[in-house]
Amino acid sequence: MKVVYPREQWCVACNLCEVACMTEHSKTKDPLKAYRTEKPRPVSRTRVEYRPPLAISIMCRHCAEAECVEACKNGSLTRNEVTGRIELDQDKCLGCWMCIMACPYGAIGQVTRPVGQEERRVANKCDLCPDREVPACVSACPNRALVFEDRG
Amino acid sequence: MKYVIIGNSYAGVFAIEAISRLDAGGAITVISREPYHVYARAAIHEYMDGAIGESRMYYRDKDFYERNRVTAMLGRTVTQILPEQHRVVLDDGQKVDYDRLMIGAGGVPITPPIEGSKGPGMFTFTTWDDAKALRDWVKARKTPKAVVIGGGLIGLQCAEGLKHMGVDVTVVELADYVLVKALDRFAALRVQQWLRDNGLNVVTGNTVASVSRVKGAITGVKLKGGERLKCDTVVLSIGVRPNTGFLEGSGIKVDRGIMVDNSMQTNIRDVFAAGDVTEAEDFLRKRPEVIPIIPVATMQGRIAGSTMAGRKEVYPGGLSQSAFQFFGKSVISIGNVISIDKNGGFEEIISEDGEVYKKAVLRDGMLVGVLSMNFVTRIGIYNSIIRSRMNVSGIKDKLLADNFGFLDLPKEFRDEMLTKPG
Amino acid sequence: MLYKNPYNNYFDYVVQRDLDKCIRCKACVAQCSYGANFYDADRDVIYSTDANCVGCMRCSTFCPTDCIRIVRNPDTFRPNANWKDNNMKDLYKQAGTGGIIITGMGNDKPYTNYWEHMVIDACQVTNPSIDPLREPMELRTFLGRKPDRIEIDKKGDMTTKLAPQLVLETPIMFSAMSYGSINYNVCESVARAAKELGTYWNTGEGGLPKTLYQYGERTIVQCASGRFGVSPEYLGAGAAIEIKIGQGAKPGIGGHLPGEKVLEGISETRMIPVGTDAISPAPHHDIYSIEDLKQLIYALKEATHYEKPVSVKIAAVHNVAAIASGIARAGADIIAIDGFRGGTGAAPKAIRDNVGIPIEVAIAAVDERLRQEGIRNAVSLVAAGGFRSSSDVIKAIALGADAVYIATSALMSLGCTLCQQCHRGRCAWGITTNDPELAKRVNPEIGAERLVNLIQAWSNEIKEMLGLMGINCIESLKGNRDRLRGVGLSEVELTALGIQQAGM
Repeated sequence: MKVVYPREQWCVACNLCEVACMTEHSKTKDPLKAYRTEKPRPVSRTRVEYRPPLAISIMCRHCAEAECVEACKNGSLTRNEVTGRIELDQDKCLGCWMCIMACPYGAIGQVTRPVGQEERRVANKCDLCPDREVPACVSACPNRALVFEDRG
Repeated sequence: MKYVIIGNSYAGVFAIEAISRLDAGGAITVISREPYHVYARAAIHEYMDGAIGESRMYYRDKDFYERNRVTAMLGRTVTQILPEQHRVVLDDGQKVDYDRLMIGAGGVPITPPIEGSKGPGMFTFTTWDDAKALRDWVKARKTPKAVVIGGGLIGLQCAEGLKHMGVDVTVVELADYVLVKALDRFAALRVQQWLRDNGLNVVTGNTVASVSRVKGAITGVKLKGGERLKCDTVVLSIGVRPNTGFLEGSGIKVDRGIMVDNSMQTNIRDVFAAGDVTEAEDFLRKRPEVIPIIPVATMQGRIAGSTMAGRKEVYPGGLSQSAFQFFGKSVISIGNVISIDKNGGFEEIISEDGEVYKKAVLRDGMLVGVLSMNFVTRIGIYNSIIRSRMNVSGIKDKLLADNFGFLDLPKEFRDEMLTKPG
Repeated sequence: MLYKNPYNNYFDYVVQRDLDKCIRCKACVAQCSYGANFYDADRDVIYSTDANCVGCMRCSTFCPTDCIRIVRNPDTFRPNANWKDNNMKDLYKQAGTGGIIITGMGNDKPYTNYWEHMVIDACQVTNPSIDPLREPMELRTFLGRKPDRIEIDKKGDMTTKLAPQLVLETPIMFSAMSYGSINYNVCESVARAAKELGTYWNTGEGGLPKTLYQYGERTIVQCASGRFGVSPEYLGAGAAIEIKIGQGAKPGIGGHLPGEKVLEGISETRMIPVGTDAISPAPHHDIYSIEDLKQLIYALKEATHYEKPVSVKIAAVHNVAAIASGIARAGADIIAIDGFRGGTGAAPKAIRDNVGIPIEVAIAAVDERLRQEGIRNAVSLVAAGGFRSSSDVIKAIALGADAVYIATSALMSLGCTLCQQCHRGRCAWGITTNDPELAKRVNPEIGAERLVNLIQAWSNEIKEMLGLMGINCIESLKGNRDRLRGVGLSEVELTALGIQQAGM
């Protein structure tokens, strides 16, 4: 299946993947409003590690045998048998962080999510942008340091 | 191929999903003594206090059995396994034949004979029914007071749930501190402090000698040292043991749990086991251990299921780990977080900053354990490092930095992890 | 800014940031390699040290909310037609440092640009124009010595043995830029593009990294006064050899690659120790005459079994025509002439802006002279130095060039914004730097694609313009100055260019 792979040798640490991810997963899909006015502020699901001269953007790899799915307490994380994608149901998530503990890539983060009147801290991970043909981070990367590929 | 799975929890679900993926024509029967569609056993404390509703308790969608061609025999108990006949016998005498059998019967609470423990007001806390019963019991009381025996994870989570329901709770732990399996003393004392700050009473180094009753109703407990605690409710949560009683006479080899090989097969052909009922290779200790945690149960279930359906998989060994919170503060514990022997090549790295406490345990230069309080970001990377058995002596100073990541690790490791399908 | 030197603080640009639009993504902070942008966590704000800004636009192009504008510093000296801003700032700088001012890229002074004073002819009624989308259009160009006559046998086959030729699918090549002055990724981008386009790239004087030998058949290997990286293997790897005598941006002086830029790969390729300055002498110390040059030309031909054309590259200077004639007679197969707008990785500003002549007049003079002497066929002429568009290229060919070399335009297609800081080795676009963090900003995959796009676009435009002139082969335009006319030029300038006034 196609997932996003980082190509470390070309990552220039511009953080635009993070901005694109945050924007794509915002209500307004506008970077300015996503950052300035949306409450709670959306959080990028990819993260740029930066140790000059090295940089790399890392997000969920949608593992065939996903350790996050195996660790999830209540089935909020599941593998979609049709697409192969690892899907997170944020409305169901208990915020127990078992997935964060289990993910060997450190690719699951946290986000505050409004549910009715309350705000819950829930897990947050790459969903490969279901509304887009190519994930936002890949489209935003100016140097092809992120590619959307099927490597078998 | 006929598959029978005993147990309808984490291991069972992963076995079903693996079988279903590999053997589209297979018929699966799942037998469970509990009457429920597969649910999140680990979330019963949150259900009890109302933090989550019923919908978030179900571990898989309603059509899970249908989609995976499963016949679910719920509320039924297996009493006997007849490996010669490839058959299991249920409580009502019904016989179910199998080609491949997986035992995922889980654990049962340990209930030592405490004087006065028989009777109303006494609870264990491992099933949804346990949680419902305890909830209904305390809700029926105006000023419920509970004593929780056992300061392990189940006991403390139950205690927190009770506290949220307005119950006056005291936890009694035999060891010097709570959560002895997951924490070191420092972290445990902090957890105890959080609990106390939130109005829980914690008694350590002591245990309940007897339960006092007046006209059958609990009035309190007497501790080993003679002290008395008033209460009307007692929860017994000193631990669970593998549920292997029904295997007597089957010929299936049981130590503390069911003994399995590295593809989850028992000593009996076509009989597999997975989850809390098993005793399998421990990744760090390199000897068979019972590791009753979700990620181990699910992985074992998947490996058992795959192997049963014809694709042999190899179990890499279980790594104990857990993530939990009390009153909004989090703890993550992976692997061996206590240096058993200072002379045994162990080394500890500790980082403390306000609420955050992090500790890494190294043995012969390899990471064997990580403990982290109030810091969860990218913590799973330590899991891969432990699994890789790489030498981390050279990056000790960076290991616990908040921004620790793949760029602090060798390029070969990074490429292996990040350029191939996960 | 505190602790500033008041005499030395007349900076050129201001980074304007609309803080209402800034989302603190820090893209601008990470992208600025000159330390102009900072994030202040205490105030959660990004600010800039304007004095450090070089106007390269890297930050503003990366800003996802377009909140950055790079504007000229509005600080204004009293207007003075004689003392322009740059005269004054350079003077203050030198009074502070006592040093020669070094700069990068080409002459940016407002000398007459003759390309902008020449127009191209088109067919109307009496001779039909050609539609290149419907009819074949030939841009293939052969560079090398052409015979004085050819002989054909009874069957009609040519029996004359031709000198070795370079075959270009389009009359545009990538000019010499050394590995070291530009980094490996840029070299690879250019090499890949040359291969895909069927043209050539030029190693410059820094040698050829072993991993780029795979592009050898599309590589011109250079041999300059420092002889960096020159070995039999190197000479054998290329399709042609170029002796570099001079460079348009800095005629008469040598090159200097500072030791800090001589990292491992560069050291190995140049065959000098890591960290040592790579200094090319001003002259080749074995060439003090045309006869000496001839010796080197034939030494190189001998070393490569007369299988590769040898080019000689000179800067366009006053008596370029006579020099070119000498070079042709010395046995060169190709003469490359580099005009004074040609770029460089580092040159004294005084030299870059004041030495040499424009390529337009140089190419006209050389072509004319070689024709007069009857030896135009003995060499191919390659024009270089500031080609900006397909129309510049086509005019150069009409003036007498066989092909052109481009480098500044090539770097611009990789991102260069002509900020002229190449000599500092901190290029924010990752081109003229060997810093591994900056060098990776040029991804050769993208670089090669963009170079191919540029040359294909120009080639298509050249085909269109050939078509409107009723010409179906680039060869037929070469030296065809009748298809050019001058606009706004004096009679002397028209004579130097060998063209007629428009309307005549």
